[in-house]
Amino acid sequence: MKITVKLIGFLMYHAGFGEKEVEVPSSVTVEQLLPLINVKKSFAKIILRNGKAISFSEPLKDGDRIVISPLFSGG
Amino acid sequence: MKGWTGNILRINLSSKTVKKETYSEEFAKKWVGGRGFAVKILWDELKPGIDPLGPDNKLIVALGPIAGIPAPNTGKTVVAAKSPLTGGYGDGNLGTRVSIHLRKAGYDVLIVEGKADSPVGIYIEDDNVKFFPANEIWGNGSYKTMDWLYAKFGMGVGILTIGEGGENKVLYSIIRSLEGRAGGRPGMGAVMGSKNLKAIVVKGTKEIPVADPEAVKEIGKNDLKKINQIDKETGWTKQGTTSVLAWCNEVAALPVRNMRKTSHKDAWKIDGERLAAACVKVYGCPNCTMHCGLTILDKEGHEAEMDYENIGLLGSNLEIFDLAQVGSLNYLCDDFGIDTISAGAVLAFYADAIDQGAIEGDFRFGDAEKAKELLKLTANRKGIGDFLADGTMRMAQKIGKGSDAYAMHVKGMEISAYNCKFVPGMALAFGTSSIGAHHKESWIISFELNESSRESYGREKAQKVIELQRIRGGLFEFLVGCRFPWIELGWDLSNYALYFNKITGLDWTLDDFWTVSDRIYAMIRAFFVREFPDWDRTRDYPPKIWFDPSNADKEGIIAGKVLEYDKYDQLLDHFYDIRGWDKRGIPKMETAKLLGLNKEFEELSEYVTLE
Repeated sequence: MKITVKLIGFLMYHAGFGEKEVEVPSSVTVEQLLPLINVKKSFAKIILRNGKAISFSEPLKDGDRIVISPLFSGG
Repeated sequence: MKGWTGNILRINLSSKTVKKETYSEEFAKKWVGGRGFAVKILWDELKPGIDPLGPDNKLIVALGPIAGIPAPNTGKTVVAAKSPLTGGYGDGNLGTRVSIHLRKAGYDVLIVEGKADSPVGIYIEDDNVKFFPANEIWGNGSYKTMDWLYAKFGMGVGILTIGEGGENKVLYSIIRSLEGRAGGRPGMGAVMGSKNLKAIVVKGTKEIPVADPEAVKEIGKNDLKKINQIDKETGWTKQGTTSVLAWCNEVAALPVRNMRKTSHKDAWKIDGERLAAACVKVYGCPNCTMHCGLTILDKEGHEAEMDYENIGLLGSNLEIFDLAQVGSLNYLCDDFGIDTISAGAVLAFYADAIDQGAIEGDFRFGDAEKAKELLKLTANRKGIGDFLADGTMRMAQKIGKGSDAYAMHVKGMEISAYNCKFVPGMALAFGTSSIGAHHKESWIISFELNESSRESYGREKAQKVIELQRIRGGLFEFLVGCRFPWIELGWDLSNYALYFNKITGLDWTLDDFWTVSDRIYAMIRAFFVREFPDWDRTRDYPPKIWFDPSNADKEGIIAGKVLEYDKYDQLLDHFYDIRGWDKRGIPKMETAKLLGLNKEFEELSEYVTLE
């Protein structure tokens, strides 16, 4: 299945991309997705699916837009 | 007493007199420093109702026990006064070498009183204080002024100065230092300008007294290195605070078009990724190893030091999606010494009022060139600039026609770059920020989305706002340091208790700090209430437009949703209840007593009935 991943802040330099469509096995969880895109779990603090926060164990669906953010606190 | 110098330097500009005073250990332990010292001194020394731009106001420069010590991110200084923008207590915290030099000169607090009869500067070198004429640099921007001061006094000195904005008493003018550092959003620059004070220059050569010099030396050596390592490992400073822009755009919290919209398809053009790619230089504060002053070349080729707030207000909120043009507006604000956040909000409100037909004018969203022209007029209070220089609250009062609904301020101070149309907890954070709408005291959007739920108006959000106020608006503002190692890199808060204890020789826990924070919040609120005895909870409300269903997003993740008054009131009730404040938002006498504020609140009870 295909999902869109957007990485916020420094995570994009770890993964080598800011936003792209990624082909992943069906029902992959967030936790399983992270190593596939070179993002360390310890740096992935806020995961949003279509604008709403989800947990690491959440299975993803085809067409999801996933936004992954590191720790930040608004300056 | 170790850790504190115990000294206050009092300078009267009317009589050109200088007095060195001492303060007690009891005062130090009760108020610790920074905004704690400032609010207590201003409460004691200012008569209610004085003109904030008159000679009776006092400018306070206040440091805390960790300030200036070579420990992580201690190169910060609090500047405070009665605010001409809000009419209440106002302050700001900026990175400057003054934090090191003033402490090394032997002072924790500088009080500037009165008014000079012509433009002056103050030069402090240890025990010697001199006044110097500033006519030559009066009328100049802050960059040129700093160059002049460095040439006169040497490159390494600590400087606080103002540009044309402060001289002309723009109500949201700030105080400047170093390359792009600024502080004092509630008009601290105007207070300096009203005193004909162009600059304060400080050079200190003594040792700052600490209880355990060896331990402090080790901290300075090791912890700055460790923070730098975390930064290198993560790469946080590549984008600094500007990484937040893309996220706000994703979660529908970006200020766009005077906060009428919450995201924009062109936001990527001004986001952290673009900024990192355009960055030509990075500046930082003293005692910092995670420099966040990302600098680009603006449209005219100046170095413009950017951060998220500046881009949010001068970029997306004005629908200007050209990074170099946003840089130009940023540069002009810095040079003029006016607050980027308020300036962006003022221009957006002006464009919106024209759009709504409430006022005539030729400024439109997206017009960067006209925005530059308006900033120049504002800094010099010329033409329409005189109107813009007073901030959104006063502009709305003059315009009328219901424009107060979309004048984006709380207590007179403009809201920073988080659009809370449907972010209830962050709306509460702005509503209850002690000095008017400011992000610095509490930022809870990530908590709302990640650990609570966006829809909730529950007690957990009020509790979180207070928890963050205690840390961000308390600890970092009275120890006087920068919160970034903690908030951006996860540097543990317990380190600050360790620093404090090694510096002072005391044995405090974080809980002791929270008591001081609560005391300071009660005192700041008391200051406001003494100025406005008709105080009620509506002063803690964010602008009406965030509650207006007709302003709801038409599409996207918060389509059809806005804040609701009855629920916001419930959230506010939780906030007041946890703080021990009454339903009007005034600390109860019982709360004041628990915080050791009996004397101050007995005085307050002469102005307002206390519960």
